Amino acid sequence: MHKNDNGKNIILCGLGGQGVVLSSDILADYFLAQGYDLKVSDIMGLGQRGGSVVTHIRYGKKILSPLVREGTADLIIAFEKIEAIRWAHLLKPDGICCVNSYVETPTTVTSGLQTMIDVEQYFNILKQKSDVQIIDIDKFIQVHNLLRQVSNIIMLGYVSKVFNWVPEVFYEILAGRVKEEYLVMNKEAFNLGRELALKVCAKK
Amino acid sequence: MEEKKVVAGNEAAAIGAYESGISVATGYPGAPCSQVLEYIERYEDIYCEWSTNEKTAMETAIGASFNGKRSFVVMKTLGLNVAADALLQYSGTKINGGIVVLVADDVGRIVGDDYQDSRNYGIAAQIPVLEPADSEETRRFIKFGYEISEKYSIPVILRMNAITSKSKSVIKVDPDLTVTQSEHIRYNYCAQKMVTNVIRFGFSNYKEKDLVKYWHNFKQYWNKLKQDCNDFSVNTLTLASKKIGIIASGVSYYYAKEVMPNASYLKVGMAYPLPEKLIRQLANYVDELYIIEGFQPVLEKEIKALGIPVKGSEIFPRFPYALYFTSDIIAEKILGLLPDSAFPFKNVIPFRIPTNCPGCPHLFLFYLLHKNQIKSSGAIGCAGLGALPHIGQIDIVQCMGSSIGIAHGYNKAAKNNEKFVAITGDGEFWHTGVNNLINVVYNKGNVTTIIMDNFTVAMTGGQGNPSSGYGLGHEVNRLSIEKICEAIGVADIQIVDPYNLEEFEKCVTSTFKHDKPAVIIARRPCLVFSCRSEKKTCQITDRCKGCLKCAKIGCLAIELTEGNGQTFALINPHRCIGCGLCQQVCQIGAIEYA
Repeated sequence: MHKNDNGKNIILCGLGGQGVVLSSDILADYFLAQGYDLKVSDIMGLGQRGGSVVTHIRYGKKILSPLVREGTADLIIAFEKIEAIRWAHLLKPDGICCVNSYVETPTTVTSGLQTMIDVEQYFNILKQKSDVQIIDIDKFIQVHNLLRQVSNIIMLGYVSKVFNWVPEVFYEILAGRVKEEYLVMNKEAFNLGRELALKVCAKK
Repeated sequence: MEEKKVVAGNEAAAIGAYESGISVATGYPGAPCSQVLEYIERYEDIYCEWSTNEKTAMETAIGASFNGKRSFVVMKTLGLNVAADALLQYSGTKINGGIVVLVADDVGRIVGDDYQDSRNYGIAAQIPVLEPADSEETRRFIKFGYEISEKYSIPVILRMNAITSKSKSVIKVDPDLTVTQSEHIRYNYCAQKMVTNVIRFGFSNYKEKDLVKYWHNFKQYWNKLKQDCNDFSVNTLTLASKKIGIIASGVSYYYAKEVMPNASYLKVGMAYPLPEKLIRQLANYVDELYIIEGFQPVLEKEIKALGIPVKGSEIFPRFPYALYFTSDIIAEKILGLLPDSAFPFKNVIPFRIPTNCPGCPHLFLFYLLHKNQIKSSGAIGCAGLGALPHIGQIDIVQCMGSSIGIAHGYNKAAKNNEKFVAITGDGEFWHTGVNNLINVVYNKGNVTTIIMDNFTVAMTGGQGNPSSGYGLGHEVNRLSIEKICEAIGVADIQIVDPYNLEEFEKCVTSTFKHDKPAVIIARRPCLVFSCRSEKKTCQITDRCKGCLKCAKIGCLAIELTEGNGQTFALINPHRCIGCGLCQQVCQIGAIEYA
């Protein structure tokens, strides 16, 4: 365990098929390797594709409840923009929200059952009390000639830089979690995510 | 060497079952606990199977148990309804090898849409119910479950839920541990159920000389269990603050402990029978006693029946009759604390309704039912998603295998030639649907049954069924749907590719008019669990006039966009798999392959 980190509550969210669960497994492996107790809850409804997926990750000295309470998340990692708002009430004041700017219209809106919300307006409210960092991952992937499947790993690399997590430990975990033929690209994606965070922080 | 590992409750259950020395594991897939058996399959020496339904799973396990081997059965709560006859009969029967039934409730309706509380089965059948709070407890409680199953000669229910099944927490495992399979034979003669329906073979009293060796003194065992559970290590009493005392079961204990670390607690790892002595001890110690239990107020009623005042449903209202506790709810209702969040809005985002995958063969069926205005009773798997409002095409969806029976009853009762067709998946057909088809033919019904055969039990993660050609951990036979339908006596059986909309439509509309039973097998592999070779996608061209017919088929790849004050459909190339349904639906030919 690290002296200056007693633990955190993290929300990972996105859509089915975006790699939310794999990402939470990678983070779980990392915090276990750092000597923390932890609990991770993958919450997904039925349906194979396109549904909301959210994972609660809690690590610390001793973790009781597997779920993050409202207003206590230190960090939200969102792989889709609307999903970030869905879980934003879990974020604590001054928490960090890292968001992929990709938007996918909910099926209820497409089929006319519900009306679309003004996402930007909600983000403006969220920004007043927290640190929102929006990243255009699709554009980043184009620029660096990566596959869309590594979007989640870019985000993890980004966050790992923001919180000064040890990259070498992540490389090892990736080697155990990712198919061998994709390992090089995953590592590259992770490192590019870290570089991106460095640039964003420098601008601030 | 022991090592730490982060595992979900489902995996911990498999580890616990292995460490208990089980020989046989059976079950039927159902969220959230489908993965348990898939984890057990890793252990070579354990016979493992997906049974055709929960009742066959339960009976297979009972057979193994009577053979002296420890057996394990896995299902969701709705599955226990199917297996209930077998389970309730086994309670009160003499038991050889221990038997533990893992049942996962959908507390909070997180993975499905039901309100059932499996603890009610424990009460109905006098079966002990263990309820773990995390992965380590799941593994430990299963081992404990086998001990009490054999000691008290009783089957044991291990109650999981969507959170305990799916949550991952740290356990210590020894990867080199090998376990000898347990063998426990106490009875080698007829073991019949002796409690609710006493078998007396015509004798006037069970104590008669010739009958007494068959007699299982269930009551004596049960009373001893009720006494002993006060000392079981799964029940822990912690006396601290005299102000607030909390009785909590399962993961609810952690939700409460999170917000009230200093309260006094009785954590009931065995939710039934309840440790009466410990409850009274806590009740006498504290000023205010609360019961925190996920779902229905089951323990609350039991405790109140003991004459012990406890606060439960009056401060935690169950609407309509179930509750999924969280730390936030407990903090608000007991301590009056409200959260302070960076964002004040909840539930403002449009819901992402569960949908079929783009290109799912079921979408073709929904479309043609809609086009021809055919009423239907539907399936409960992916083929039932057409009942949800974004498609809204199926008129009634009940339980596994029910659609054929419901259509049969509807049609028998109908006047004016009104008629339902029945829709079923292949998994569901074998599960219990086939029984209904037999009934239809036997009683001269007129149901047209559409079997959406995608070679798998798709919604729960692609498990095998009798016509899939694969099972779990061993070779299986592949049964033929058409041959069994033929053997039952269905005269009109047609096999069609659902992607061929024209032919599929012809099949349905022609057989629909018959007054005899017909079966249409719409056969195409599930897109998720079979590989797709070609990659093509559809796109909407500028010939589109914005009629939005394509948006109504319920395809996840078709999104809406605004332009020039009009709404247009747009195909998301990341989602589209090029099935071409939208092309067949578009009457002006505005959709083409990209």
